[in-house]
Amino acid sequence: MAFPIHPRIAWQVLDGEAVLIDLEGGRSLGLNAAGSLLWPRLPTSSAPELAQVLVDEFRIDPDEARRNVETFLSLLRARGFLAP
Amino acid sequence: MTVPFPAHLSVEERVALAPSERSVLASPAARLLARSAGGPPYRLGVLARPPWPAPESGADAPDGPARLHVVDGRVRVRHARFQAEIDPLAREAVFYRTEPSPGGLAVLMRVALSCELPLAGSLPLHAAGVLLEGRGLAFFGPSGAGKSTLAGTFEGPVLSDELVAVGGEPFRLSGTGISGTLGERGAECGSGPLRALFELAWGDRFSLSPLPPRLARQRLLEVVQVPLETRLWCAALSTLGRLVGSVPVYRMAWCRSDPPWERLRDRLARSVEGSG
Repeated sequence: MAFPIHPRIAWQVLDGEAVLIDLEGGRSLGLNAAGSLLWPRLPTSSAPELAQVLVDEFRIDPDEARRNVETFLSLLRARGFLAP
Repeated sequence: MTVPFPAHLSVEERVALAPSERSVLASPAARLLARSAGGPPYRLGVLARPPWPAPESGADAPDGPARLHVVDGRVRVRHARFQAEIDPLAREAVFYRTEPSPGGLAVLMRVALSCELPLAGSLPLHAAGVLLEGRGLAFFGPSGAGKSTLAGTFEGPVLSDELVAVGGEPFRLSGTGISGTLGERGAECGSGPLRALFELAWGDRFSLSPLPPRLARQRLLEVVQVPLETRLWCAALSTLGRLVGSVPVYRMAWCRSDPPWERLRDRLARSVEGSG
């Protein structure tokens, strides 16, 4: 299962940082290194695949990576950044 | 005498425009809109009926600001005295008013320009811009940061004290024909290679410090003047990334009693020599 981005979010990855514009609120948001790595992969990756990206990049424990991905996805859902 | 429209601006008048409105369509902003992307003319329709159902009476204050919202990729401008709708991809707009509204047309020109520029690889910035020895310097910051005051102390060409365009490769700074409190003095036509951008702050004395790229992006995002439409902002973000990667951005503090131009001239000359 992948995680399509809500169409109200315009975004680009600039110099390694995912910069998001919430077009409904007019607010901008820059993601941290981990979030910037995951964000462009959301529409085409499952949660386990996203966790593996964190393991490969940051050399962290797979369980920690899985928890980080779950937290990240929960935050995005709470803010309405993922398509329903 | 009828004021001619700029070349590359095609106007269909289902209701005749007043002379005051025709003058707006002959303004530098309208000329910039017409020629900004090349190709077919920009099309403007002046309607006899509202493009969408009018709001309830009293919903918009006659002297209040125009409101923008996006519907199906088109930018709607709503005001008590006029309505307009812009299709950025089709490069066309429609305008409706019950009585002549040069102010409304000027608003439409500004919003249309803010839609057009990102798709042409440029960024409209709420900033003042000047040409110092032929090089473009842009000064940005929130209202009250001193953009117009600073531009008013400059003795050379002031491209704008309200809205400038940065674009091209390498980047150039251009006026938009839109000025703030400086009026005509703050709307000189022209452009120059963009040398640097400055986030303005008031201070007891002059100081200049480089902004790191991430902070520069955050600060500039606050002054990018693009309607909240997905494709426009995706294009604008791409240009912003290119801008911060290729043009230095500084934080500059200054005080009214000591305009910074000589110091800026010296500092910029030294930074060019140092990098040469």
